Amino acid sequence: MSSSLVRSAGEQVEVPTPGTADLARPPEGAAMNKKGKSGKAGYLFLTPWIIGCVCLTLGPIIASLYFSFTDYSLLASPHWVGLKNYSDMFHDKRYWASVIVTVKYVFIGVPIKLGIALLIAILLKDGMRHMSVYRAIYYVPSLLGGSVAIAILWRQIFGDPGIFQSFLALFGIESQGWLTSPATSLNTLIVLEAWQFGSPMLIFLAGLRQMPQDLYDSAAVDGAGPLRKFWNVTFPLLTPILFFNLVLQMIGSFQAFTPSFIISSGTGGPVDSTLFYTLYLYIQGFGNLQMGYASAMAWVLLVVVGAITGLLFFTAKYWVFYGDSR
Amino acid sequence: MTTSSIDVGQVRTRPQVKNSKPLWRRIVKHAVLILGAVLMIYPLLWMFGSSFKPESQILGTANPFPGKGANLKGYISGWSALGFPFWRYFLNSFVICVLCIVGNLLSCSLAAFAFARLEFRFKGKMFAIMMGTIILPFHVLVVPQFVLFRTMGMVDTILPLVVPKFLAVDAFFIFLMIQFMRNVPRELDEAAALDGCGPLGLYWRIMMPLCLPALATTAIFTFIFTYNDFFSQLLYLSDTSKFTVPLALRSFIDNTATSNYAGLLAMSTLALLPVIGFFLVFQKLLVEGIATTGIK
Amino acid sequence: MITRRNFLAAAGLASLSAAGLTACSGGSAGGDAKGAANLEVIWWGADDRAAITNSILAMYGKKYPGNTAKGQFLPFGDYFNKLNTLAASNSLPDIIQLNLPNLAAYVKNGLLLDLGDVDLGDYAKASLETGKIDGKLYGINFGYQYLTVMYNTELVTKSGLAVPKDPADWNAWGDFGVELAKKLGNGVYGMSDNSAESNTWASWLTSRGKGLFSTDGKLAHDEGDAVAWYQYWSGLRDRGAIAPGAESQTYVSNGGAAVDPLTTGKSVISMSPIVQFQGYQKVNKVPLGLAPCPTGPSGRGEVNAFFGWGISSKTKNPQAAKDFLNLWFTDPGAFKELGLDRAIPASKKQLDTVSQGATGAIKTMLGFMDSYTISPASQPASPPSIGSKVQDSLTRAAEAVLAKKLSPEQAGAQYFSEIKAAAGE
Repeated sequence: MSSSLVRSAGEQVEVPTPGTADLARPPEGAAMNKKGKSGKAGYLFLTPWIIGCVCLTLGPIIASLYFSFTDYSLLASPHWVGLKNYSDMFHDKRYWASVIVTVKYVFIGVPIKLGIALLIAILLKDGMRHMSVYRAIYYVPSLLGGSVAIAILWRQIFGDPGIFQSFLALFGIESQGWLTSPATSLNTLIVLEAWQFGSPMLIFLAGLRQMPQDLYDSAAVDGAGPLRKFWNVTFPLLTPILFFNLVLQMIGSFQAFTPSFIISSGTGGPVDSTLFYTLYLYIQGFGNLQMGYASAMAWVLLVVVGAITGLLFFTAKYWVFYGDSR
Repeated sequence: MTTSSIDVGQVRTRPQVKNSKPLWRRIVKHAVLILGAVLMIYPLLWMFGSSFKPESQILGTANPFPGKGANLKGYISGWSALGFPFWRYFLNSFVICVLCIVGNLLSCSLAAFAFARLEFRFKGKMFAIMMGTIILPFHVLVVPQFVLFRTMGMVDTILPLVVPKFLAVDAFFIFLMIQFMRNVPRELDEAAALDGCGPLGLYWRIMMPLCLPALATTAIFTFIFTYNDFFSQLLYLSDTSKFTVPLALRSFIDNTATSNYAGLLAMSTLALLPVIGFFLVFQKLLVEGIATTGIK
Repeated sequence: MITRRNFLAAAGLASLSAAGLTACSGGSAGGDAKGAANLEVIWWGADDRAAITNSILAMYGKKYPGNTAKGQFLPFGDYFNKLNTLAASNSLPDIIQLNLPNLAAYVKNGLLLDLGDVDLGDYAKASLETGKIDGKLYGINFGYQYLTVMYNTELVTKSGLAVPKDPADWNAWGDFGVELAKKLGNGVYGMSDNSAESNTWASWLTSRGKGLFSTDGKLAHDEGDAVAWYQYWSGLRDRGAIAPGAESQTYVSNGGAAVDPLTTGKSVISMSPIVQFQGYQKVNKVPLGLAPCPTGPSGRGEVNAFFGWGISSKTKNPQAAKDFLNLWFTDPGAFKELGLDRAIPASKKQLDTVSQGATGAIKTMLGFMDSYTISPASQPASPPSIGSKVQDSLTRAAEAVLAKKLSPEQAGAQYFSEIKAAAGE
């Protein structure tokens, strides 16, 4: 199903929803632009984008590949060192620490976030009184979550002394500083990530509300319980949206920076327990002026994110249900 | 017409089979939802309440409500705690936001129009590249872009933050607009062509007015992203007179936070207000924007 | 308040006697710059320092009509990243605050001006040594910084114990910490955990006849020193002199007066450069006392590390910038403003000005300075390739010991292997 039918003010309009839109192909051009002048017009309209793409995206990607083979401090011109940055990275314990932190953050944080998002979306899907209040409360944190102000707030919540500590103390639980202990500091950042489940929740909600009702009805006739109904009917129909959320959230999490920068005062501490990949890249590039090393890190990130996304797309055909249109 | 509305959460008249659910399940459901909402909102509530507390009652006090000693000292001292009064940082942030919004609206709609409505060589390849840049980690571009802006003498100005928006680097918004333009009936194009409208006329007189909802969504999200952005501002802005709200908060932490938690929380609360305000005003557009493209 | 991570400090004061001697060769104060000079000055620090600095910038404007000096300041955590990007984009301010870990790197990249001809009045020559790289003066130290022991006078009195008499070595202070913890109890410990403090570390090394670096930029300590260092602090923790790992973590990770257990009343003793005393006293409710830093086999570990002004080599107004430094280091009005904010003055005149009518923390500091004779040695600058990695590595290894992820021996080895790799040795 490349688009789904939504009723709106008594009129049928086709609206592509995220999981279902065809991401790989552009829409067909209109009848009025068949060749000739319209070809030029296309480029004319695209001029800003082409300049941006060449100068700010493709050019920099290539430049960054070049820098990654050089020793470059910004203060002197880059000079070629071959694969040294990559081999240094391989032997750099802090680099591996940052990889482990990031992998934990992404592969624990994203499933939790999506799980909560799906759960709340299911609870909200039938509508109820004060629906918009719930939706607002659940959604607003995802708009605020990446900001410095929220990171500051998180320092107070999980700090030492912190609110979470005194909350636990109500139940007689003595705890250490949650941010200051390397065993728990990353967890507080994962909680912050999960707190921002609002936008995937909305996407799930949009998907859930477009589920064809007749499928449920027939399932109900078959005597399916709510769990089986969810598993056999809802979930398969939801997989395109789940897939979409998964890709987006993973890419976003790999790039998280602000929370760890603010919460650890830019060090990634304690004991590198909150040293996000991007933070270490920033420390190496702009703190130690090792732009070559930072570029090499960036390229590895690019390749890894690309590979994971590719893998997701590749496996999608085994678990993402595209309805009967495929 | 063409205001494609996605059904996200408005209570609708669906076949009401659902309400036959047993009472206990509805109670459990509401209990979970209310508990969840309290958990979600509590941190914000605490921050808001604590910004009015006397200094000694802030740290490690879980109660969000300021008691008898409630006062505005945090706001007064926080407002002028740094080198400039805080309005300066808000102004700096807003200037950048407005320019970014203008840039994104223009450049992204132009690109979207080309992809949605025009035919030209390499369109498929370009579209693929455009979609690819959505998943491109920003950090891959950081170093070379910094070098580029530095050679152009743009470091420590707002240009590196603003110029890219005029060059349609936020592919997400292009995608959003393409999605929207797809639903504008093609008959309109043909009618316009018969009236002697060229592509430019079609873009400006037909497409743009019809795409207002998508443009609004783009504007709102551009505002929120730009306003919350920290990394690029940290990178490019040095002069404290050019500091934006996130940068100002950041230096607040190190400078005075240890002695002025009320001020820090007060300014952090103020910093959140524009985004919350935007959300309240444009709630519907935001929600639909998310549902169509999955941004944020 | 600056955090104590801000500089690798430690230094002596005796050479104040040498103060009032030589002025550096006279550059022409007054300035022959054509046209108006608009200087930009950048430093790290908090509000109180900004107020002091800004008022001296205003003095400059008054003394040199037509010229102006505009300041900007950042928190320490962001300062050097920012300065690096400014340097990279050729937009360094004219006058920049630097410290020992970064001085040599800036010189190596040709970013700093030779300051040999700045007129510094009676500034003590000994303190100038810290700002020299390869014999040339690139930075002018604000004065002397050296490590001291600070203690909570009320808690010491309450314990009925007496502060160890100088000279007291590291173990004597450690034992004192153990005794304090025993006498006081109730969750009050003897000492703050300074295992992540590079100032204390530099002082410890010096007292063992070692140092961070030699003058030719080589490492001047070895893995054994680092192991002994972490063993010292772990040993004190095992003996109950300092708080268990979890309680010490915030201070070890961040440093600074605000989170020092001394300030929160959880410990009685902490070690910090003397210039931080004012900041400590400001946040401490009880009067603090000062004692000289511990001794080792090679005596007291006093080293004076660089923390001062440099001038950008790209400045358009070198003479005006030098005039500013002249004003900063010789003008009686500036002396009054400065007090003891950044350092113990290296100028006798400045010290005299500050001494007049001194009260509170400054009075305590002056009294301390009068009662001990301390000879400073200049601490050689960090080689460019190391920069601030000493502090980074020291902190991370210390955090790992607290979290029981590394033994003191492993921590020492980790620290040293990182530093060694960075030094390319």
